[in-house]
Amino acid sequence: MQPSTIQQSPIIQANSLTKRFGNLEVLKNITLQVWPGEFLAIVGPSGNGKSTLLHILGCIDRPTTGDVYIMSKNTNKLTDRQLAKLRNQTLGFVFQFFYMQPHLTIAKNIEIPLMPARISPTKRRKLVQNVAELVGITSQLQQKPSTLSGGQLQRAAIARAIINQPKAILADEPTDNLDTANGANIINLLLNIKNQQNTALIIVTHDQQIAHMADRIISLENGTLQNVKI
Amino acid sequence: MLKFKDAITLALTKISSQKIWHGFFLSTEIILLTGVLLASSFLQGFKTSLHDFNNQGLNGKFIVTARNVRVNPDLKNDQTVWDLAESLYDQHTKEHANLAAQLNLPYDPASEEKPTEYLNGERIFKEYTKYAGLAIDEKMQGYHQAGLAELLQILNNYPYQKVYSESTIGTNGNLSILQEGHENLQDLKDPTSNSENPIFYGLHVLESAVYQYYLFDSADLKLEQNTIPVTMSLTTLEQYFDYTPLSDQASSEAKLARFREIYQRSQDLTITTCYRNEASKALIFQAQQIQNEIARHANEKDYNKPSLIHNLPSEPCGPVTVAEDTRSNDEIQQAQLQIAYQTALGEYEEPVQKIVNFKVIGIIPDIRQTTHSTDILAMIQSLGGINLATPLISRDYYEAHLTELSQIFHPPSTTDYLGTSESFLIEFKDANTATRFINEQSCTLKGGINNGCATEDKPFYLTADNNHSLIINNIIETLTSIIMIAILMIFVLTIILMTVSIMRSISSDRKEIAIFKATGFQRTQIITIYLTYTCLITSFIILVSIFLTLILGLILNPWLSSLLTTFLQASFFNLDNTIRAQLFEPQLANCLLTSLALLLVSLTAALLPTILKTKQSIIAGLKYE
Ligand SMILES: Nc1ncnc2c1ncn2[C@@H]1O[C@H](COP(=O)(O)OP(=O)(O)OP(=O)(O)O)[C@@H](O)[C@H]1O
Ligand SMILES: [Mg+2]
Repeated sequence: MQPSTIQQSPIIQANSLTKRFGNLEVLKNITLQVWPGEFLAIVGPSGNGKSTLLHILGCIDRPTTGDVYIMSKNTNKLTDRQLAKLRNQTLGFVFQFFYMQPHLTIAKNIEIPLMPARISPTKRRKLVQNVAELVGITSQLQQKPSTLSGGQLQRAAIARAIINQPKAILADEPTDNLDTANGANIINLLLNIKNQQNTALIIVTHDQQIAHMADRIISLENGTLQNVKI
Repeated sequence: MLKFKDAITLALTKISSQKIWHGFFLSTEIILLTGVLLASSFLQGFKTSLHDFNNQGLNGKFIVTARNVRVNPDLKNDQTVWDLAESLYDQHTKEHANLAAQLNLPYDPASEEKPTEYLNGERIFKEYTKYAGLAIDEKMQGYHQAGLAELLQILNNYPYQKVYSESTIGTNGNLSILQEGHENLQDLKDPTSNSENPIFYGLHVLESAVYQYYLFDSADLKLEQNTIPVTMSLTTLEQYFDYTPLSDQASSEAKLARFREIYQRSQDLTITTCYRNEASKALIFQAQQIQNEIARHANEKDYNKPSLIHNLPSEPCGPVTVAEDTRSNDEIQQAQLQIAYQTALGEYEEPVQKIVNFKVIGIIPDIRQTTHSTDILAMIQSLGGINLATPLISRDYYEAHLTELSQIFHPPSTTDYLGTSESFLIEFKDANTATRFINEQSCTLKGGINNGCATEDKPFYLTADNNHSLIINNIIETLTSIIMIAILMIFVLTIILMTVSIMRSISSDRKEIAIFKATGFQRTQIITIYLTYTCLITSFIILVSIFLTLILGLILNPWLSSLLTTFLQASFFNLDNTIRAQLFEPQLANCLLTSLALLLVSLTAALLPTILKTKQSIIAGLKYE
């Protein structure tokens, strides 16, 4: 649970998070840190709030109470604009259902996070090419999302998440829609990226094998963190 | 901020992602907007064309007619008039009896009708009798008829161009048209129930400057005595040439063809008439009566033919000739005494008959239709003509030939009991002054025209009925506002459809917006995408609509314009092919304004849903299907 290097501060620090949907309390007083370069697996039974937690950690959703610090900045105190910048630059989110823009090509979809950053077209093309090579979908770049397989879409989603070289990648069941072989490939891909760029990797999964590859596993049960294993 | 190119890319993606209804929306929008642009271009063209045609001749002038429609004193029921008539009767019959006695002639008082009599104990006035008429005439002398001086007085505050005066001179006797050189003597008996409608009951005298536009190129205003240059109305000539009038529904081509035909046939037309004064008419009438009587008694042996029998004229417009004169010396003397008696009374008139020629030198295109219609085209058609009283002779000609003319026509009288024989035409520079003058200075009719109108302050009844520039001006204005309202309504519809579609299209994009947000787009950047989208789609609609308007306008223009030209030529009696209607007049300013308005409205419409949707949570947006 303790980081290997004490001096480092966590990428993500969550303090006493709760999340309620009406009467349903999905998260209860959750506190956790995510360290740079760490591989964290979140497991737990279905419907227990794993996705909800990941969304909050990725600044895509807000907790009902509690604070999330990203690189020591309290996200509750950031303006919309600063928050958008954080999502764009620091965090890379891989959704369970990919969420590609259906009418853009894969290349354009991957390029989307570059747009708010106003990067020159040549540099953009190079970056897209690089990440596409990295995830192995160079030949699908000009295709529309609807023509791609689940594995290819997952790779594209990962490419989109990493194109701005985020400090943390948050992936929600990235292997759920894939067969075992493909799932393993994706995990290896994510691990490669994490190792190359010292990115924190937070994966929600119920695949025990994948969970065991992680540096740390946390389990969500009844809204609280249980059996936290190192 | 987002790069312009990115915004365009993303907006174009959004456009290409739209469903079928979007195509439907686009085409509806384009059709509506094209309709608006085309309609406003056509409206402008219609207005200009109408104005161009209406601007010709007298229709281009703003003319107000002033008539001193007097309040007629109720002379028929005025006992003093009755008394005056009685005293005139007494005085004259006494004189007549004395005169007859002097000439040794028998005098029958019953030969002159008393102006009043008692019927069932009540005194009644017989206004049609000679002395009743004389009494009324005498009384009317006391009633002032407002003339040019008064008119100029009230015109003081109204800048005008010129005042013309129109007077009517009636015929003393009869002018009947010779048909192929033949005089129809039957018509003389009763000129009112006339089949060969005598065109020349009288003439209207008016400065030719007013109607110069309607004179033929070859018109000679100074013809010699026995040929009078007249300007006739189209309707009269149509009758003269024995055409069956065209129905109101007849096509413009037919109307125009008819006009052209009459115009051509009238070019060298001289209408020959026979003038007979009352004495000449009376002789003919007498001759006819006696001959009839002889014919009736032809089989009776005991019948004594009258001692003086006349032959009807042997040549057209000739005098009666004596056929048989078996009068005794006594009878001859009696007849001479009768003449002496009438001469003494100032009532004797030598029979006069002579050929009078009228040369047609111009045509006043008068109005054929009188049916009132709310149909704007029918209205225009009924207003394109000119309403001058005809036949017209020029004032110059009248003054130059006063002596000859006064043998046939009697001068305008100011003592007419009903109506006026003189009116004024005032030409104004613009419609406003003319309308203002009418509104402020016209007296108000008290019921019918015979009930009078004039007051001390407002002696004239003012109308704009000689030509219709004022009315047509009004019609154009009204038409414009009606069509403008219609166009505006379509435009509002366009705007509503645009607003709804854009709002709907953006609202359905919750998921896309959420993805943009999740990947780090700022709200302003997302708003930029959607505003760009709106701009593109609106500009597309505008450009295609303008293009279609131009194409359709240019394709339809020749055909529609020639239809309109024919219609307007027929309505305004225009044979001059140099004036053509141009229906399609592209309205650049209107076009820009409309486009700008549409763009602004759709941008505003886009702004609202985008602001709302970008405020929503990402999770809610992502879960939205
Ligand atoms: N927007 C929401 N409104 C109401 N309830 C919600 C909402 N989002 C999630 N929930 C509820 O919160 C609970 C946790 O949901 P969540 O998706 O986080 O579970 P999970 O652990 O990711 O499940 P799974 O393994 O099936 O993905 C569920 O009971 C779900 O019904
Ligand atoms: Mg989940």
